[in-house]
Amino acid sequence: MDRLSSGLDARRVMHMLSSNLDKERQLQGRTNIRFCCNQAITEQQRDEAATWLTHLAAQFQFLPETCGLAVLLMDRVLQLVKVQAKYLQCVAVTCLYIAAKSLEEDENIPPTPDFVRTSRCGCSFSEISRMEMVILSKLNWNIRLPSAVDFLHTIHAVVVLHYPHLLSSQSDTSPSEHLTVVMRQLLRCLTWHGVLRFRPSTVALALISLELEQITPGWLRLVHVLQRMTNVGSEQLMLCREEIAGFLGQQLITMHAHRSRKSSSSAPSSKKRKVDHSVAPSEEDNIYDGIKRLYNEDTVSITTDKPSLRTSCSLEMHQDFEENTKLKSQTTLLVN
Amino acid sequence: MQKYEKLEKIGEGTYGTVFKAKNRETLEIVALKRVRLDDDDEGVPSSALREICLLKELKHKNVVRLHDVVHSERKLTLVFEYCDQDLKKYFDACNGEIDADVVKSLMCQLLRGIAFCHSNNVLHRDLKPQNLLINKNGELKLADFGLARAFGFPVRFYSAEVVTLWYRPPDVLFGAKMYSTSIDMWSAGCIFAELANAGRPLFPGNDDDDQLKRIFKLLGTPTEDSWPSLTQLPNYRPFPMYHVNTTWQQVVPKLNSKGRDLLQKLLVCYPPDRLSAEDSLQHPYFGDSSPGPK
Repeated sequence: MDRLSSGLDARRVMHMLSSNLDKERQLQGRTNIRFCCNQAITEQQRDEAATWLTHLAAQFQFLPETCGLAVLLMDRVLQLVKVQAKYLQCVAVTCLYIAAKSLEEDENIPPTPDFVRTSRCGCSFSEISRMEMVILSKLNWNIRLPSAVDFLHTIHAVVVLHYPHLLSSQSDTSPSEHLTVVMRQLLRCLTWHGVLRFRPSTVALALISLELEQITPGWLRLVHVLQRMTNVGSEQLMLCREEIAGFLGQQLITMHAHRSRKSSSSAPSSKKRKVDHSVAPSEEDNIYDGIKRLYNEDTVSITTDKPSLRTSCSLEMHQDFEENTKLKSQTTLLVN
Repeated sequence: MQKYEKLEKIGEGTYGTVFKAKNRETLEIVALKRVRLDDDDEGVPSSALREICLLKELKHKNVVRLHDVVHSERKLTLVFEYCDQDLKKYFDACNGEIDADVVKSLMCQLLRGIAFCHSNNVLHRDLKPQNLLINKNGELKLADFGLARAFGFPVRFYSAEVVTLWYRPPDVLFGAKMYSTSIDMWSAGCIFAELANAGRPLFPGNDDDDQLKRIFKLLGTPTEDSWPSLTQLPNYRPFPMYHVNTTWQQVVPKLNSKGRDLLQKLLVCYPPDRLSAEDSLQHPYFGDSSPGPK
């Protein structure tokens, strides 16, 4: 099988996919509480908090997987604990902080005072600290949860590995550009409570199947193969596809309306909602640089020294991405 | 923390003090790692957070077992299985002599521990004798996951500020940020040589440059031919073309030829060519005992 430039091969990808599926299954077994049973938070409040989180993640230039995990952790907390509306922001921002600490490298995590200030979460650092301990104990420190973002990465990699010509021959879109588009859609879906009743793997597969439908007439057969790999039932997949298609379609309409009116809504989170298709092509090029390497679209196979190579959530979510090249003074953490 | 009776201080970890203690009920001896939580600081230190959530999932006899996490006022206590000493102390006590079978057994256990971590998508990123614990039954366990991280898909740019200098691979010394499991395999090679030489470190460099010089003097200076894209690494700088005049026999005189072959396959400058932990366990050096990861 094709060996990727990073040394990750098809076996490795399948292994990662199945171990994430195992974890997801264990998780489902333990709690199958629907969001909102006995919950003081409304679905709309949850969606606003999730939207705010994706924007914050973008602002801090966190990875999409950090953003995915943060939203997943928040939803877990809301499943397990009855949270009062006034604490929702604190819960949300703490979940982002936990996700960043577990997935981002230390040099990419802003110092705590900056984190508190920039997030404008309205809570003090000691409140976040206390909330952190509450959340970690509630989740019993089980925070390595596979999010839909992780599933999107692995399922997409499976498609690229097994059907290398599919994504490249159909259009001018390269696999990494393609993934960028789908990832952006996924991050938007995470802010919609409608997808909460589906497993993260189902959400990722539904999005990919919608995308495959656009680019190949043989999509259905391909989706069947992916369904077998991921153990996603047809009914769940269809329901989830409808939910997502409905949401994304409706979002396009409201966004256009939103843009033409140029009004800002009262919700603090929606102020910064951006329309992604206005991202300049040159910026698109930088998106998923790591993935370009992964899929050998780039000739350089190890690394280069450009400081802004990180693939960040911001690229997927923000059009006004400013290249933030503040190089933090790198201290040598470990010298004998 | 009434449950445990503190016995003595063992040492300082990356982010906290470690004590030997006894469970008052079961009389079991454990190691307690204490982390202070200051309100004005970062909350739970990221290294502690990662160590806890990674070790909660890594249950293997060659990985130190995390029994429990206890949260009390302003501190967090990690309860670990107790091991008598680390490999560094073991070296100090061995008087320059380690039996060849013991070397093989410890190396095999090290590789099993690494193979297990890697198959669970975890990079340790700080393998060195101080972080390998040995209990009284001669069992070796990977410990101190404060720098460890999950790796996934796609491959990301990670920190180049990892691994203690002597055990740091040449790609990371050149600032490579796109690495994977091969990072731990270099350290494993260095530790293997150190085991075979009863505790004499293989590349005891003083700084990055000295470290690379020592490596290249033994292995030869890499070129674009032996290491594609070498010159594009972030901190690449040219080194003299050292003429290799040391044989592996001189480097590890007490190691047999199969062992030397394994060592050479681990200490490869170009990361993709470094042997994986899983493949290392299949190497003829381990002969009939044919371990395979458990």
